[in-house]
Amino acid sequence: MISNPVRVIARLDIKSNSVVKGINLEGLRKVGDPKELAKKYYKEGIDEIIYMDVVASLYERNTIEKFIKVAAKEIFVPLTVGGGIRNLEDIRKVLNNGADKVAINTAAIKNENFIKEASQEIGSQSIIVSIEAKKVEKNNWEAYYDNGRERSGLNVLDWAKKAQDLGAGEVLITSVDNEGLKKGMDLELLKRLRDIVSIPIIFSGGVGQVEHIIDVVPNTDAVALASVLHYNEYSIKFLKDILYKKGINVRS
Amino acid sequence: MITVVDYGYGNIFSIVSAFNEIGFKCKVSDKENDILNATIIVLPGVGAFKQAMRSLEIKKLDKIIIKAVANKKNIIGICLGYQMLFDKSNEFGVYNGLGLVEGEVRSLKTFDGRYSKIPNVGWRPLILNKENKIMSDKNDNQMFYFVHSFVPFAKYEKKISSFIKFNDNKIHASIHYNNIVGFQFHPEKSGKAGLKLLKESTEYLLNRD
Repeated sequence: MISNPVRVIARLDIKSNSVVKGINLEGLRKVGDPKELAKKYYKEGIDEIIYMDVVASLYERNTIEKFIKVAAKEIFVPLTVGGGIRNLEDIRKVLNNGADKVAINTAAIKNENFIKEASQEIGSQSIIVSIEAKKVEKNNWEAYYDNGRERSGLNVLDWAKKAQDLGAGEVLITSVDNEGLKKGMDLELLKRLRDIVSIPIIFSGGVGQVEHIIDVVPNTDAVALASVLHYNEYSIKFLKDILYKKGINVRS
Repeated sequence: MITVVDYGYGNIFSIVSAFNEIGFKCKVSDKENDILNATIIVLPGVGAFKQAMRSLEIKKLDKIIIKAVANKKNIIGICLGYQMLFDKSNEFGVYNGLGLVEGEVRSLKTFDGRYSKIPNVGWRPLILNKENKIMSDKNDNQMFYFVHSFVPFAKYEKKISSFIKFNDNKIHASIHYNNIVGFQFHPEKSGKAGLKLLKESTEYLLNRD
């Protein structure tokens, strides 16, 4: 049985019209233009793009819709929008402007029925539940929101399972502890997630070199990359070539 | 004129962008004349079968599309729009489709095996159907983007242009037959390979006798 290709996704965190990157979701600095970076990654062969508006849920405003519309005219791979998605109207608005999926975090934590409502009205295929996981003790992770600022009290594994049961089509798990450090992903967290959810997992946080992706491939359906791409350490084509040579199934 | 049917379901913006990218202008419309006079009718669709069919019926677009296709008009169905071309679906009950292609839509759960996850999300390589020679060979083994939990099963395999593997089964990924083209995957979201296949299929429809 040959496994399905692992999806290599570029994650673009957006703040005030720029792509930003920090460490542990903090100390954000500008790394590029949202459209230009997305276009570059598309041309290099990225499988998907996630736009994450990192301040939308904090100040209750959206800056991302305008990027989506421009991006979707020239980028022909799936586009996901996260950050500040609060109701069905918000979902419809971004989907009508060229996005294929939304990633929901804060609004789902505040009202878990929103996941159910969204997956029934819009369809599970467009609903990703985004979870920011922070380790509180050994083998125990808590779900955070508002870009790692607020704690929910929810256990990440329970919450991921709940999101699946409520109809989420995929889960995007960001390890806040590993995020931006480029020292590898939280393998223990991923292993436990894989045991508990059957829907596709997009795993995010910590990739600094190709080996870090190889480490997670058996347990994840997709990896979301940021620093390693934004700081030009690898082109996507080069990265996929290495993965392929190492026996990992990727889209060439 | 390519008419993209506007009935409230589907990623119309992306589909129109993809056609523009390959050099074709589209009109987005729910008007009878725009559908009956189209060179190609494009039926998009994302979401649930029952609600999408109901939305077509409320706007009386189902009958208009059936009439147009009976008059040999070309049609391209994408994703749920592809599923709706078939006789019926078993998605949460049994619901009639447009009946333009013989066969039915089934849950991926009905296919044996335990490896593949549902929904089936991601890039999958096509296996071309050698019986159907319309899709060009360069698409063989090319990867396209899928996201679905249900899939149509066509009664006549010669209408099928490609398959993908799902668990130990081959499931029907696309049809190319006379004036009808359909894709379970999203060519408009499948990078350069997707755009090429969309262009090739559009040209096939426009140039057929």
